[in-house]
Amino acid sequence: MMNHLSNNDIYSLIDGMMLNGERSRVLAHLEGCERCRREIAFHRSATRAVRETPPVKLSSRFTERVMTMIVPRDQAAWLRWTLNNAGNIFGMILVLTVIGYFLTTPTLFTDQPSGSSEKLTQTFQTYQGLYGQAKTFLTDQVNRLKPTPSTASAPTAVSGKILAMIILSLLVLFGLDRFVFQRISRVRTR
Amino acid sequence: MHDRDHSIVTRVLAGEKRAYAELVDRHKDKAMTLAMRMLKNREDAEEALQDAFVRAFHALPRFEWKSSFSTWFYRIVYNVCASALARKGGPSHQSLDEETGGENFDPPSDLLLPDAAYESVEFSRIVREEVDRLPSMYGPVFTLFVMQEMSYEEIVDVTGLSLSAVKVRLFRARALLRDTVAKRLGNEVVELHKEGVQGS
Repeated sequence: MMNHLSNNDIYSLIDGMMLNGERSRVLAHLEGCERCRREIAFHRSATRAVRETPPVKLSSRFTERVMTMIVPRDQAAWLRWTLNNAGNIFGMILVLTVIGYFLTTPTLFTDQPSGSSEKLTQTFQTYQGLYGQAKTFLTDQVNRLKPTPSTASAPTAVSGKILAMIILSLLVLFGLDRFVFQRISRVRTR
Repeated sequence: MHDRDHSIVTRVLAGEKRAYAELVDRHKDKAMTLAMRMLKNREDAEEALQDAFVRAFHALPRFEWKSSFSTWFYRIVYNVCASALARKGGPSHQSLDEETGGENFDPPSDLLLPDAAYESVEFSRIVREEVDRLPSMYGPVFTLFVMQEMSYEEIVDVTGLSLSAVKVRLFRARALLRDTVAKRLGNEVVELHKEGVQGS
């Protein structure tokens, strides 16, 4: 019974990893063995068929998706910045509008006729007064920081309330920005 | 090839992040073939490959050029796919009795097919289909060796397997491929013969 080549011999020969002496022995065997020749022909053809297989194609959209995850898109940068800072922007606009409104119309409610809006008028006048006191308080604080001594009056109980309101406003703005607007921004840019 | 990768990586590391798209374009198709061999599912493979590219980007500053970019990148792809496979409860890529044997896995049996059968389009089609069906234990090693034309040492580098494990997996993949293809080809030859007899 004829001995055939081992699988190891066959694969080594196909891969070109056979030493010279071994190679001569295998080639001599192949001259007289049809079965082993067919084995080698099979593996060579199979290897060629696999090498000629086109790789699995991915579209250019795949590259775009990867790049979007790595480098944020330029055209969306302004939108992302706006969304990231929307809380601050919203808060600042609100505060500036209120301040601007009172500063530009100091006597808006003083000339109103008495009646149903009387309480409203009084309320706004109170807020005007509070704003004036807050302004005085802030001016005092600024003067105190200056090197020259000033004749600033002592802060009142109202100024304490104003300070607390400022801190509270900042906390609300921070909360809005951190938990609402930035969350929306993350969802939008995902 | 490697010089081109080197120059792109250098540009990316210099701050030209958009140049990374060139690397993605250059390697995505072949890497996808490897991912498909492991995960056997296009959607999973695409997701894993996307993850691999992002990880590679962030790891680029630590890449030391001890191997080619492709070898280094395939290692990331292989690890990401192996993790995905493990999450899905697939077979481990670091198991079995691979340290022992393989050389006498299965002795060659008769391939009683005409020579022309190996050159036919049908043969190529069957081989490709059977390569796709190789178990995920063997498919990736076979793909790296035959399609990516990597050396045993490079495959060791990519897969983290021992040299003997790589050889055994490759050996078994070929033996399995040979048996399944021969079986199908044999059947098809018989079928064609039957059709010929019925037609005459």
